Amino acid sequence: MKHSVFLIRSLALLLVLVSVWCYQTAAIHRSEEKEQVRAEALQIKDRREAEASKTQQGKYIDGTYEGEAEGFGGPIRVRVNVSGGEIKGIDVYDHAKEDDIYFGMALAVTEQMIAANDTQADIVSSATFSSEGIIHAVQKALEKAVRT
Amino acid sequence: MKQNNELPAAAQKRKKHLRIKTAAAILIRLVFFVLMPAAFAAGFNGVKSLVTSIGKGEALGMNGFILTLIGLAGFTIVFGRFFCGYVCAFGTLGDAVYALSGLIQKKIFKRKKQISFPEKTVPFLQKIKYIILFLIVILCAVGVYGNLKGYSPWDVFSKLTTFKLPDEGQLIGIILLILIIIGMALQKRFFCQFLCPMGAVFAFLPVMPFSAIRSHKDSCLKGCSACRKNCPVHIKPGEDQFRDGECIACEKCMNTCPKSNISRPTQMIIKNEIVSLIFRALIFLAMGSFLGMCRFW
Repeated sequence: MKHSVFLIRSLALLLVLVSVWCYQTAAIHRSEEKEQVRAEALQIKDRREAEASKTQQGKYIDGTYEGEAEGFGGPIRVRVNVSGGEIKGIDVYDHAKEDDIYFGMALAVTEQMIAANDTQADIVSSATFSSEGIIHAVQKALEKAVRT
Repeated sequence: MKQNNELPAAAQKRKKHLRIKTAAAILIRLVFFVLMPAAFAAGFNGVKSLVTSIGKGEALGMNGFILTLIGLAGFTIVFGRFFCGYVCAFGTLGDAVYALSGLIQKKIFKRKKQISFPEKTVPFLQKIKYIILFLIVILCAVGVYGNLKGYSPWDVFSKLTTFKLPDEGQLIGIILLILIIIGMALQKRFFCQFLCPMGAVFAFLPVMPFSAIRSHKDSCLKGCSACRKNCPVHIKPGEDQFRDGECIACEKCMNTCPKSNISRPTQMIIKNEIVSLIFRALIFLAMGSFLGMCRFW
């Protein structure tokens, strides 16, 4: 047949897509169950932390801090907003030399740092340089903000 | 057939057409080299990201890498491996190194014929890329790949495209890149056809029949295999359907065929090969910009 290899390859691709879709349905189902357990655990943790913070001052001094570090293709500059002693926002206002796709992936570290109120975060795999750049820039910025 | 008695005028016209086409091809490749030097790695990161998530049992989330992979794979299904032939910066690097090596061999060592691998070994060496793809997929699935920092020759290359030197942690990647460049000097498309794991993924994809290059064998000159001799990946269009996946849509066969026997069905719509080339380049540029592959906007 004239297009037999084309048909075989299309079928193989379809098979891969269908199995990925099956996997995805199962994985979403499983992660929903996990999410529930985690949400309950988080609530308990939040309550405890809220009680603790009443008696304790925050980790950082309130204010807006700027920091800079080397990313993939050039400097990355961030502005970190601290209020109530916690990291409230991280604005990466200069990333001109990063590749968009990689930078977009690396931005996940800012969410991690805000959620954990800490300057440590897991590096996004395959976007190492941009991730490290953002993390280092935040660390630089918050050097001046640490309560001693 | 109409071209039985080709007039010298027609031949000259064809020659001029091919000169312009070659110039256009070089220009297109230079533009993509400067604009999207990291696109190939981003696409393959999509494969790695998918497999790593599956290895961990997580639900798959859409991200920039996976989007790039879908874009590149979709373009390849519709237009053939145009990305490999004209866009990929690593492929362009390979062709530049091979051309430079040829020039040195000719001018300094006075060699008439450029060194290349024995043709019989090529189909076997081309299978190595599938093994590399398989190994990387396994390493990602078991979660080991993330710990292998500084091993990738692509990371070293993309670092260099930003005019920065790779750091000492990338020593293995630097050594691999040097070995690959030596290979590029000895064989056309050395990395693309033998080693590229992204190329292995593309070779599995179905290319729409209307974009597949094919030859009209009935009117071939007897014993002629100019197309295979000039093909960087050593195939004759339509000879072995299973090896057609190797075709990187570079159109060297179309340019070289003495009887202009080789074409793709889409040429019924866009007859001019140069226009067709620029058309595909512009569509890719639009898609690539939309997906964030461009380094400058």
